[in-house]
Amino acid sequence: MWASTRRGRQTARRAAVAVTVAALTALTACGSDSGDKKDGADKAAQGDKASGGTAQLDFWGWNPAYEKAVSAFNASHPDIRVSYNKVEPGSKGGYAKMLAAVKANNAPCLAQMGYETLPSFLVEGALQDVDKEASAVKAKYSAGAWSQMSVAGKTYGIPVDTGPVAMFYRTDVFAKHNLTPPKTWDEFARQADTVHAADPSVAYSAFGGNDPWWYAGMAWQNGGSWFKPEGETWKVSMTEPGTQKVTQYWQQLLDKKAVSSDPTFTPDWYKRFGDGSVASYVGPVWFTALLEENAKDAAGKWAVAPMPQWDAGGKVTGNIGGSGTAVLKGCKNTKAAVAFADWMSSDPASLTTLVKDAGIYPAATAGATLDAMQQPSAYFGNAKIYDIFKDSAAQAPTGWQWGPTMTQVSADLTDRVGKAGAGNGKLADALTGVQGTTIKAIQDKGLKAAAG
Amino acid sequence: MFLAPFGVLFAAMYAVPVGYAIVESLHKMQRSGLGLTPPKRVYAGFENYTKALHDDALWHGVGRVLLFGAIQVPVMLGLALVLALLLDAKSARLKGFFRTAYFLPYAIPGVVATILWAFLYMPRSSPVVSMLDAVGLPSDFLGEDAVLWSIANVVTWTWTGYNMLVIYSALQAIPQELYEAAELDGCGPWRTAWRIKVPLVAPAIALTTVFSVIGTLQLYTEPRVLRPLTSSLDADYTPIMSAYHKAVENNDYGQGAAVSVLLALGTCVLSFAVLKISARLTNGRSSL
Repeated sequence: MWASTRRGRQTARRAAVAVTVAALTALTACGSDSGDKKDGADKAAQGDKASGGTAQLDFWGWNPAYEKAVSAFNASHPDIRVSYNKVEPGSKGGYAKMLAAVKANNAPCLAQMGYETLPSFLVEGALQDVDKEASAVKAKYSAGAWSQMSVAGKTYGIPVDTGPVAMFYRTDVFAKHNLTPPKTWDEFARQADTVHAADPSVAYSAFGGNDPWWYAGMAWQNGGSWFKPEGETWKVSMTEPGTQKVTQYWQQLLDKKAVSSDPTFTPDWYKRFGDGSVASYVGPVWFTALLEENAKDAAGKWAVAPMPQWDAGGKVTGNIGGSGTAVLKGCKNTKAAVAFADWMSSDPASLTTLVKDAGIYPAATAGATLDAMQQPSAYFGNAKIYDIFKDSAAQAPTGWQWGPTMTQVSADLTDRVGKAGAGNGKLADALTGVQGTTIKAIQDKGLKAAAG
Repeated sequence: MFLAPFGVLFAAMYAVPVGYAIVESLHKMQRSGLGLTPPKRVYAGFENYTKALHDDALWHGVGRVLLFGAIQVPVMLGLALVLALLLDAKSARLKGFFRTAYFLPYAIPGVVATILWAFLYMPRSSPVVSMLDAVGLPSDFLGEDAVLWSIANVVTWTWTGYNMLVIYSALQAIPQELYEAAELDGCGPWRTAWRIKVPLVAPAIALTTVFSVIGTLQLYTEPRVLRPLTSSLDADYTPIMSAYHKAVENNDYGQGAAVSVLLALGTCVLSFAVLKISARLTNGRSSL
């Protein structure tokens, strides 16, 4: 199994990364058991402290820029030694591997974790609370991001980045049709009609329906929250009024075929961003790095504008993704773990690396004044794109709450919203369906759940 | 005593994992309140099995792979038999080359094979799709209706050569005298193939059938690799994907284990049924 995994990596071209990564997910998740066990044995032998009085920490994540941050940390902190292990992106297998490792008692101390998944890990009993160690550094982080690493008043790690949303658009296509970036969603829909009428082969924008957190990000902007702990019961409301409005809006655009509904993050998808057959995308800050890497030829043709608004003159945005460094169950040296996680999320040199290489938006408030965030971006026609994300980050509503079974929600949203986006069924039915499967999944866990 | 090495290996490689899966399938995690405190593992009896048997999505997956097998296995084995007979024919040239060429896809790992085919299936990147478009045959290989057969194509491509080789080896084992006798009796090449060769390799065909049926029920790699590229493939598209989805994505190992155990039982029953039927068809000549 491992042989095929390796081989897959070497053979597939760079453009195929999305396919490969997804493809190998399951294999790495279940195929690496023996390797994990060995790591665990080594770790047990080392104990908390190695012979030289150095604290040993394992850290699993998928952000390629973390590797650099870790080596910088090791170079400047002789008393703590962090070893970084790259795993598949969370929902593509990384989380499964982490949960399996916790179950087998050989989990790493630290793990990269999307905010949406944190409560799910808590429900599996896979997190270690670090209130005591973390409270000293709390003031460094934006309140919104900090709250995403906490559940019911307890903190389980340090936030790294948030995913403020803006609108990416092709300047050449917009110029051709005499368009300026839309201020409102109404204008967005009108422009979509204009472009579709003029040239049906060009999609005005891309519906990211099979990316569950994209859909959540759109709902996030409109004031809804899909989950709410009420007493002892999880309330699930993917059909609340705010989300419904978003659902009906995108349904109309899809019905008119004015937006593309291709599966996201595939080679095909990026191809359209490169050749201009998709003219815009409402997406998160980290999409800047993906666009740069996967649509190299389109350098200078993409620009960034603020997220369209539901009300003219409104200033509300959404959030897509963002993650923190969580402390997993069984971590013995939580002090060193928090020290490293805090350093990676707030040290200026570390943040500069993460901003430049991974396009993150720092959760640390000092990150906003970072030099790297003032620099013009060559790919985006030398515009200072981070100014827009800075505004967006400040405008995202903070009340959003995630549920206890997000890996299931992720799979179900991907399946059902993806299908509806492709024209098989309606979005509203998809959302109602996922709400049903989610309530059932929470109940299957032995917890109380209800619609509302 | 002499059985000890086998016994140890059997226990480590087979009995322990199966036993573990059965134990897991009889347990569940118990939580309380909002679930914010660590869960407890408790005995669940047959609850996981009852749940699995009432899972519509799982049954759909089973139906899907059965339909898949009913079409794909005969097509693949038919091709394998024809290719083996062609290679075995007296007039065949370049036997070594063709044998290797047909067998080659089997040497390519399933994941890689599927990625290669994925590039031919993807609507915007595929030269095949654009060629078909150009001649007025728009096609969507990853669409709801087509995707199962696109997967069948990858599986057939990968496994035909392997099955051909098994049948070909059986052909090679047929004593030469039989052919001489057939020739004396006035059998042409066609008649020889149909009346002598096919009946004599029937046990090999039965064997490949059983292997293929088992493989079909375990269909996983190809749909899993194609899943991110299309909305047509659900998380529980095949029974194995369903077991994975339950155990890993829903983090319910008990459920996943129950589905796996049921699937193993089903596979056992079905392969024995296939074995019995083929044994009867080949007049008990099956050496299995």
